[in-house]
Amino acid sequence: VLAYLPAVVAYARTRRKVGAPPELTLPVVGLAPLAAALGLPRGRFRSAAIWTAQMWAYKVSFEVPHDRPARQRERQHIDYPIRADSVIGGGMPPGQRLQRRLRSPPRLSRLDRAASLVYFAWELEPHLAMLWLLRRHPARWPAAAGRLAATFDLTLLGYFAVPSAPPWWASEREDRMGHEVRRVVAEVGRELRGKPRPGIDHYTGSNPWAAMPSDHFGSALMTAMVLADVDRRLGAAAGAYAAALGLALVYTGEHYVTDLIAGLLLAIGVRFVAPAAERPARRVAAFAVEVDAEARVIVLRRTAPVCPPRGRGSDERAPFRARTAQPLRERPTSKWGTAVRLTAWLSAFGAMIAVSGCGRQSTLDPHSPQSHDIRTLWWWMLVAAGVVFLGAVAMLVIGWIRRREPGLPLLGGGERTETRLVVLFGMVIPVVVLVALFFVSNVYVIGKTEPPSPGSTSLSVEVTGHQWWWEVHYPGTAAVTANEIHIPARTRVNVIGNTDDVIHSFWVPQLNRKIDLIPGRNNRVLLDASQPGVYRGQCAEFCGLQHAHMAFEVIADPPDRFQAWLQNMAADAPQPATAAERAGQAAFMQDQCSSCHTIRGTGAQGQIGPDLTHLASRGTIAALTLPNTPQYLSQWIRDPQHFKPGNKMPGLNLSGQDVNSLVAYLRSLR
Amino acid sequence: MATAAPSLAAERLDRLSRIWRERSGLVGWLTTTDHKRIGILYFFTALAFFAAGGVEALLIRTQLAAPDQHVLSPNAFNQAFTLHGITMIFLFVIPVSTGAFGNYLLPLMIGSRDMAFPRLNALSYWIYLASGIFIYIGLVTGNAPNAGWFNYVPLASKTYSPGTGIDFYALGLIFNAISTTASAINFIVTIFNLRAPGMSLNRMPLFCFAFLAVSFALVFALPPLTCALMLLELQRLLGFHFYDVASGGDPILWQNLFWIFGHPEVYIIILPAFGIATAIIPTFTRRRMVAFPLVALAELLVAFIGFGVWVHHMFAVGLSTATTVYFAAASLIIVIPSGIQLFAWITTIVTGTPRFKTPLLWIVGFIVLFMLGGLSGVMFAAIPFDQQVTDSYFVVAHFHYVIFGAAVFPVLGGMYYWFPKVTGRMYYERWGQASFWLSFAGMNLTFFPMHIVGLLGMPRRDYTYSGGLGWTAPNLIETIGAYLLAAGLLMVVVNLAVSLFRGEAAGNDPFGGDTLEWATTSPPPAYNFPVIPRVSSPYAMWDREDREEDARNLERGSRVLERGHETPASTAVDADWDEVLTMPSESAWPPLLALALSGIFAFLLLKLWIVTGVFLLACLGVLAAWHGKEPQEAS
Repeated sequence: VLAYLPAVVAYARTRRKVGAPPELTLPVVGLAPLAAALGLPRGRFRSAAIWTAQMWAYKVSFEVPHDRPARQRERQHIDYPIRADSVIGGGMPPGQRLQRRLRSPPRLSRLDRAASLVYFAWELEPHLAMLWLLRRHPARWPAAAGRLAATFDLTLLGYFAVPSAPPWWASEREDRMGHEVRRVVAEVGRELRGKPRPGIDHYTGSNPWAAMPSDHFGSALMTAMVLADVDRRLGAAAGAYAAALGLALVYTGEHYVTDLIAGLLLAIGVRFVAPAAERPARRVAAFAVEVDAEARVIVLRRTAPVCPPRGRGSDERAPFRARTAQPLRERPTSKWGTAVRLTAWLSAFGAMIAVSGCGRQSTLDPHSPQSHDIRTLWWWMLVAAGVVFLGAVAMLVIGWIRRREPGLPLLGGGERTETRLVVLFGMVIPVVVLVALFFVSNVYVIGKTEPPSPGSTSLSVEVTGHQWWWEVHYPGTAAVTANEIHIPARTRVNVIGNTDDVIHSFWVPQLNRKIDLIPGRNNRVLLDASQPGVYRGQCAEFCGLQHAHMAFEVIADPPDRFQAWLQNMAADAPQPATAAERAGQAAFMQDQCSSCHTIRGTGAQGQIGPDLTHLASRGTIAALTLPNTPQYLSQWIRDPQHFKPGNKMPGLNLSGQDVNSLVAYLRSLR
Repeated sequence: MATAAPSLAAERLDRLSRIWRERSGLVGWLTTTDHKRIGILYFFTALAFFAAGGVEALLIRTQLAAPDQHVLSPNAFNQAFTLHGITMIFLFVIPVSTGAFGNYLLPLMIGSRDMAFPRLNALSYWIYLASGIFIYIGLVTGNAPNAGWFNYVPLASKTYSPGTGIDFYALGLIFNAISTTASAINFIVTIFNLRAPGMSLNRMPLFCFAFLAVSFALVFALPPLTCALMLLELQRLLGFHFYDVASGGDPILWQNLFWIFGHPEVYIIILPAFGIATAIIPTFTRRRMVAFPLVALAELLVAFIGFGVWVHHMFAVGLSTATTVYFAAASLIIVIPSGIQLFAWITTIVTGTPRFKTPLLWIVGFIVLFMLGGLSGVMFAAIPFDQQVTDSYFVVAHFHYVIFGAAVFPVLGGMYYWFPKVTGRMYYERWGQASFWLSFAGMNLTFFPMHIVGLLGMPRRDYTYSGGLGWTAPNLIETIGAYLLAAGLLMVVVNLAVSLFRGEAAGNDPFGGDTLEWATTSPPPAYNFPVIPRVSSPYAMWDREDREEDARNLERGSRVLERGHETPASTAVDADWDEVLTMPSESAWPPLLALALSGIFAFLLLKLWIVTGVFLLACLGVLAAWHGKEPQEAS
């Protein structure tokens, strides 16, 4: 773990030799902990590696401003900490006061050595605490490490934003404090090492630009806090160490008291804010774990993801869950190294996106001849666009290569040649490609996907858009339903769409292109499902508050099953059979339900809400907002505005008993 | 004799600055008619609205970071995306490109001392500011428009949007259109009549051609919008029935009128960006633009053909196949002038000796992004595919590549490019490049996954979505990208803000620019040029002899116009010396007129007809006073 110091030095040296700019260094080292997190298998070793990478990144970033010392010195603030501290110390900075009182120059006193040792111990203390936590309380480790790392990184940000000088610097260079404050730590360090070693002195000494806020103090405090969460006594010990360190920092001339206060505030702030930041972080982590699990599957099984079998409520992630739920007995082979893991991780991520092409509302997973043609058109357009794009980018790359070789001969030059080039790429080639695109898409594919001519199909369905649900009629029958459109598979169906209020748009991506539903117009679209299945659709034209909750399902049944469904749907509602159902029917009629909803075969003839005659046969309520289960149904009846604020159904303050009997009745409407 | 000449020149400069001096302080900013100060006002106002629109975008992306979140209520989300669209299009991109860049640079590039109508110019700014505030008062009072920037009826009618949000939208945009129309007319007249004598049309920089095209497009595109908005307000305020099917109206009328404006609007947004690109590329490739006449023609053609393609926004409406196919063909044709420009830029970069400094980086980024946005745009001319992905996130991806990538990237590049000219100081090159890469990465991370999520069937303008449809991962990436992009943009602002105070002195021409603005000092004096420059090519700064001639002219007192507040007018095509115009100086009437106009719109919204009438009279009064005293010859 402690191998990071040599790595810091090595990186700093090569970086300067190569001349890598800080703008490059900071992102690279910033990604190091992330790379450790992604590239290594989960476990303590990875945790330790993440921490090491984090500290390495911290130290390297700390070194970056040394690249341009002159500039750094220019930005450095020397005055204001002295002034602030003089106020605290009553006319003289407390550090200066302490040294005047306690030091006995020119010899180093015992106090000097003790304070310096406390100071040096900080190089180990937070890391030892982290190691201890990792060994004893691995579950607590992530939160603790996150907070401590945040403390380190935020102090660093403070240094970058407002570099300020420590007291010893102000005293040595600027004569602000009468050359009185000695850099005790450096003197003790030299004494311990015997002879001066500039490299080590540089890395163990403190930075002349990094004083406010005190990272020593802030991180020691944070260490104490995270330890106290686990073990009171250990926390108290670490707290005592932090206090001693604070005193030592002031005495040795490393920090002003104001720096300590800033460090304290920072540590408290991190502790206060951390819980709020943890939830989103956990969400990202959960996603990473999912991808990681998939990467294991890809490496061990070498299986490509496939589209899941489809049915109601199928989930595009189902294949992952199904596969990862089985314990993977195979141990990762030796090939399961960092590089393989990273590759697998990337391909898993790509695969997840590819598999999500199988989504139930995806244009890339067609289930009708029409949607299939449009998807084929898309892939061809993508290929053509890709060729054009890569060609143009290649030209720009040539420009990039030429930037330092202006003499590079090119095309023989000449205004004429260049204009010809523009005409060729900007006019001739586009004209050819665009004419082809025009005929393929707007003559050929458009004809194959256009609405059927009236009377050319055996079945028509009338769909009416409402804010925010779909009403479905089957002309020639009494069948009326909502948000669920049953059609026979392998049959051309003419959908006639209109709207009762604002403009909506009827879109089932897996079956055909969309069509707007416009007041005063009857627009048509062809549905022709290739096989039985459930295809999700959604309103695609913004229609107000709950536009997002206006989905529906097209359910393609085998033709005979469709006929049975239609027959049932055209029939009146079944009579209530049990006492609870009868009570529910009575409640439905007495309360205001019947003024908005129709239940055919009863007195309920309301026209505002969906027809409920066969509600229990539907899979969802409120346009796919909730599953149609007794629990959700009763919650919906109690407070319809909770799930879909703004919809037209009011909460009626029904008694619990009324709600239960209503649910019983509605569940009987098969 | 040797000392007499320079002192004569110095005396002339002194006299010029006395003649052109404006008041300092707040009053000076309020009454200014200096195109440069107005440009700066435009710039900071547009930047403030950019920040507002950016915050709205971040709110939207935060809400959509994961399925079923409740960061914003449904209504707040709808308000956020509506205001985001209105703000970015009407209150940021157009004002920053035409208002700020056009105003500041156009007179400098054509060697003029001001815009043709300086007071009208000030009026445009004040109306723009007032209309922006007007729309945002809706947000502050909880009545922000929430029916999308496209505002389709009947959703936007009184029945389905009973609040005043839509009125803020409609009246605010009518108000805003006055400003934009006025400045467009101002640009047209300035370009045709105020070019330095000698700058015939074929010697005019391509930047100016782009602005000419934009101005014409604005003049013809805004009336249909204003008309549509007026019909809407007649329906909402007074109960007319233009869009009401039940009474014989038609909601498709709104869509037609809106998109007759809306599609040219796209080109209005990107043409100034094209102009900025054609200004930056020659400077950093050290060569003239390839195919200059073709590019100039293409800029004008794009603006013209742009008026004939609007129905491709309405392919899903259910119009006849003949109609849609015609407009699909037109939409394919417009690809060609865009392609010409694109390959002219690329060829210029390839055949030149490019220096990839910050401004050129933004332009190369622009070329890449515009190509992606353009290629996905071509796909919309395939009607079946359009009807599959329109109103999905695929469209959102496409037009953000066009509007953010192709319009805003050059604006940001232009901010770096002309920063030394406007402030006299250099920006920080390294941080400038870093800000480009961060923004470029953030931009692609935000908007590229939207293509995918759109193909996966996610409709746009949804305040939330369910998990399990494959949309979760791309949406999370988009949100992360949006924050990165915000960081990149913040870096641009911080870089320029710090440079403003600490940057090195830039000198007159730090990049070796090709157009006339680099001939004068940084920042330019109130009179722009001590001598009306001589021009014999579109790359005036590279014609060394002309610039030496200018210096000699100053000593001779030729083409100096030191007798009054004057600038020369020239003939429209050949730019022969026509006459010397006396320009109006600072005036308080423009802000007052804008204030009175605000009163009219505010009280129209409140339906207080009599008070509206009072403000109307006040407007007429101000107008009469404005014209009561014509500009006087300086004594």
